[in-house]
Amino acid sequence: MARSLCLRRILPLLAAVAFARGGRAAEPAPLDPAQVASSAAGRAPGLFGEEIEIVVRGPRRPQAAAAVAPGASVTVVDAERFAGEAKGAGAMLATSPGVAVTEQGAPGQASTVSIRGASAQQVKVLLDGVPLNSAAGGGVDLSTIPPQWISRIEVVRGTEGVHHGTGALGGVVNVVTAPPRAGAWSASATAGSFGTYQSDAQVSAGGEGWGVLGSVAGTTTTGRFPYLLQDPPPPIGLEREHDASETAGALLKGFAEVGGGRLDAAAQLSGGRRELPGTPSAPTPLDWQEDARGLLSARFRRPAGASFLLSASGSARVDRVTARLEDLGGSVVRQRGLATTAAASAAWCRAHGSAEATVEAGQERLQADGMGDHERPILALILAGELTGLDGRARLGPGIRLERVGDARGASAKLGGSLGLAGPLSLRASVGRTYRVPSFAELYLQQGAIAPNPALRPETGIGGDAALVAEGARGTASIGAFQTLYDDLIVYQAVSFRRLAPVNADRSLVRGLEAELASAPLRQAAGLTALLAYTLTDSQALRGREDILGLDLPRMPRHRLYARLGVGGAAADAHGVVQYVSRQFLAFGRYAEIGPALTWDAGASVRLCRTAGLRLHVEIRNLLDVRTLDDSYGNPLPGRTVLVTLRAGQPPKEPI
Amino acid sequence: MTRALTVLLAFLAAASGCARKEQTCSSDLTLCDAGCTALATDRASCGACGHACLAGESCYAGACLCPHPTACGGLCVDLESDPVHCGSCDVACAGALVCTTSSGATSCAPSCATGQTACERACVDLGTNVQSCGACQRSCGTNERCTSGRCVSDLYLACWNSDEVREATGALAAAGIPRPVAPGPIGLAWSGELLAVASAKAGGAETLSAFRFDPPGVRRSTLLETSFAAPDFEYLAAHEALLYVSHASLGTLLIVTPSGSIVDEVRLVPAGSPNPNPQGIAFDSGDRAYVALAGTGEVVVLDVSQALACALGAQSRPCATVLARLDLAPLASTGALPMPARIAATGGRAFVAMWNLDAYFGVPAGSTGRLAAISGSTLDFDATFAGTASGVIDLGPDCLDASDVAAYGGKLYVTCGAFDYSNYPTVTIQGAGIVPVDVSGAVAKVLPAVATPVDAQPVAPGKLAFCGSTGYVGDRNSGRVFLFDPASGSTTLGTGVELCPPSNGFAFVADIACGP
Repeated sequence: MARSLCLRRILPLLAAVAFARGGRAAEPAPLDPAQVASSAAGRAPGLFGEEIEIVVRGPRRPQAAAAVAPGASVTVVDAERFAGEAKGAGAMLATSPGVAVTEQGAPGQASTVSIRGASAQQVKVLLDGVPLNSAAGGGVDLSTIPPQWISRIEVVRGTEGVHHGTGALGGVVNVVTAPPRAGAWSASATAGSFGTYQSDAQVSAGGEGWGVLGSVAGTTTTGRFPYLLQDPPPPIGLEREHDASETAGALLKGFAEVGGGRLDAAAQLSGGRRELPGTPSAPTPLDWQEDARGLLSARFRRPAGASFLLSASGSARVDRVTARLEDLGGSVVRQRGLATTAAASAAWCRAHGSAEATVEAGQERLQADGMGDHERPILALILAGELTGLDGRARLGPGIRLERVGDARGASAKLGGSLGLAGPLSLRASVGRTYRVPSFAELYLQQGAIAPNPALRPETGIGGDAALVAEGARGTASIGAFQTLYDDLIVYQAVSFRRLAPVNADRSLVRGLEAELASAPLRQAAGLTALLAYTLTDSQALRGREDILGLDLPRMPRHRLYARLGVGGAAADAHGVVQYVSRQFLAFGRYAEIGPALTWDAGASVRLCRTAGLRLHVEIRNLLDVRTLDDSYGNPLPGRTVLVTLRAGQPPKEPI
Repeated sequence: MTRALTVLLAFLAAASGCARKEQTCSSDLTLCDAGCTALATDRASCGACGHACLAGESCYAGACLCPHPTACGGLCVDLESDPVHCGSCDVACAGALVCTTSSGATSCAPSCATGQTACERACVDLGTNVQSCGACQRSCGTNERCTSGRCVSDLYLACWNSDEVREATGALAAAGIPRPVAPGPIGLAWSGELLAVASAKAGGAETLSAFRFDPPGVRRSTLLETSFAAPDFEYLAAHEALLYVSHASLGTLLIVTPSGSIVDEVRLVPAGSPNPNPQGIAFDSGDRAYVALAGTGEVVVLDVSQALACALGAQSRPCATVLARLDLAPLASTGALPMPARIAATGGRAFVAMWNLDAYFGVPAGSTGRLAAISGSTLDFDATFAGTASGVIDLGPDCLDASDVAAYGGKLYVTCGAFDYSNYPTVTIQGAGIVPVDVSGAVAKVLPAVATPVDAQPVAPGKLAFCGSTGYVGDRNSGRVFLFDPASGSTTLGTGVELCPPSNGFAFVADIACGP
């Protein structure tokens, strides 16, 4: 019998509570057959977070918890597929269509993500469902998330304001940390090029109706790599200087069945120091940055009868950034941020539909040099529902969010749906509208050459997408089209001599095709697996001078391809990766062309000891040692990078 | 499957219909079918889109007017050459006779006078006739003049905000029609008959383009385009048929031929050093280039005598060598960075205008405008001439944030004005004016400043150009240009004329070039 997603969430919770009350030994909750049938990897879907861990490994990509919104365009990057490969969040995200990751140099330096042509600032990045985007503005630096924590990354493409609040014009990235699994432990150590060392340890414990996980991780690198400086000619071989970074983090999370429901809680602490090298033509040998982030989150859910699910949650995030910047005359600037959120929701679930109402309240506060001390409240009412029909083959999910952020009020809306066609084929589509409230930096920052503009309006995004999806025992594949219209875009323009300020000036259209494929291991072909993500992007400037109208937006390549082939099994495996980015332009009007870039990566691992799950991994990035790559912002990228990882764990971490 | 794909394609097609393009124009232009149009001066759309002026008429302030004193039967005619109204109205030249004017006398004749060309029986001098400039029936634009067969103006302005080059007469009347260029025109320089334009703006590219003004019409071509994350051309100068560009994004001096070939890109500091932020360039009579490095607070002196040979292939790189490097830090006020910006070379010396500001471009307490004097013979500070031990010429508190320096008639003129953003959004300008410095004697002598007019919108004098005997000053706080007569002895600048339109409430006259 087909069940709505809401019911699929509530059933395991009821079952788990029943087990806990019955005093049985802790074990995975029994699966509802319908749930297994509907969940690609046997993972019970839920709100962001990993409340019910059922089956983690599977032949296909796991279904995203974010797929609570019917018709959402979602890719789930399962970190276990890359276990042992010393990949950061940015490198994992590159495996998703519609996504562009900018990595500014060596491992440990800043990296940001954009989706469907939106800027990094217009993408909402969550860590276990808690937004990391600071009220200060700018994109979230993915390098501040210790890669060893990552269990999976959920990428939701499109205007996703209903479920995730203002700011998600391009989409949402939710980084989900590893779940507690009783008795599981793991540890790894990595050494590699440019003085890069990483290590981590995780241990879980559990009992009747409870589980807890602790993890520590650290990374250090000198970031000193050779590169070729091509401008001005002739090319000169140089070494990247002042590029070191050290980061560390600790994570403690757990769950407990209490009060007739389930309580999930997590505490995360991460921070680091990095040198800021500047660009080769404008090095900043004295600049540095220190950042720290603390995050607390908790959520309690309990069923109320067979049809209601009640939930309450809260989170607090503290950010501290201190930087010495040559651009500001060598000043040391400080930024201290605090964000708190509380939410309560009630979901009414029936077999053929559900409705959920959520109230959120929060506060953003920022104290920063050049900005002063500002705070703004956040209030939101979210109404969402789902209708299921045609024996579960059809789902329709409307949703609306009314929100007030400071003085800005607005609405986000989304309507999505999916329809099972025949066999493994289904069609999904969605349309939505959302907006981004100006950041504190855009409203208040007066520093160096930057002036504020308190009169800014929110940016808006209106978009839609549709895709044909095939899911079966051999894997998943999808091909879809999307279009997003971005309006009132905030760009920095001159407002006075030597001063720039943000203004609502630009309008653009981004549309294209997204295709992805994730195959299950093919036993007849030495465990061959394939992973492919392709994005065709057509971007257009819709407002501006005649000579830029209708032409590409800056840094918006038409083709972006990620392809990975792997072979092997538990004893040994190998993989190769090719990434291609077609030509792009640095400026409006197709000025300043950057040629296409093709990079090759490879890796292999071998099991050394079965009992402790001891495994040796070797990963080689930029296999052909191309030393002229840069991030299109002027930062050189490393040539061939070799990383060797020794990893052990129970249950053993083996490639899918 | 086919049906599903059809749905996908239909979705894309339907959604595309929402994408409405919106062309934007400079604030004083109007969007007509032909694009952004200056209704005030465009003969094809004068006063209204599509309202074309009649033959012989020009568009003045949006009205079609006859530039000649005589109109015959409502038609605008040139009695000196019109074969239907030759010498006076309704006096037509018979048959194949042409209408010509020679020695002040107009008559019908079998052929044109020497130096004239018959354009449909009207004898004109293609070198000077604004109705047939360079070619028959090639009319020059409003307020343009015809010089050597080219339609040109007295002044060319780099309008940084509106991304245009605009023209004006010597009396500051708008001329011609605005010419769009690559975003952020920052520098203008004549190289032969080419007007080169250096452009760079965040979100744009670094572009070197050039205008030709000879028939069949004004043409813009791109000489050079470079791609960098932070585009930053800062200054453009011409010397011995080559163009020199301060390439601040790379911290180099770019030497380019008028056809756009890079002769050399001269590193001004060793690779891997902090960016020196090259600014103004000046040449002395001895093939030496002085380049101001605002980032490192230095002036480098280069020998560019081999650059032309390099361009011709007779010499290999390097095409310029560093002769001297002078540190201006000791010349700055206490608490200030020297930030040398613009240079004028005259009388065997180079004079360097220093911003003399703090790192936020703010004025340190007690600071004054400063000019460094460098001897061309010793390539060191000329303390004797400056009258100070360090070689600095102190311009006083009435000249803060020295912007430009130009030489004329034995004097230097320094434009000044510092922006005070401490009470933003209220912006005030301190120490604004033009300070003359007499450099004709053995010791430099600072003369009383020419004050800026008291105006609702304060003036920050910037670019200074002398065209003939008249000075023209561009404003850094608006799109206005001011006339400045160095011989008048006036102590206050007159009222300016807004020639570059604002956007976001701001305009900036980045450079002024005199017409040919």
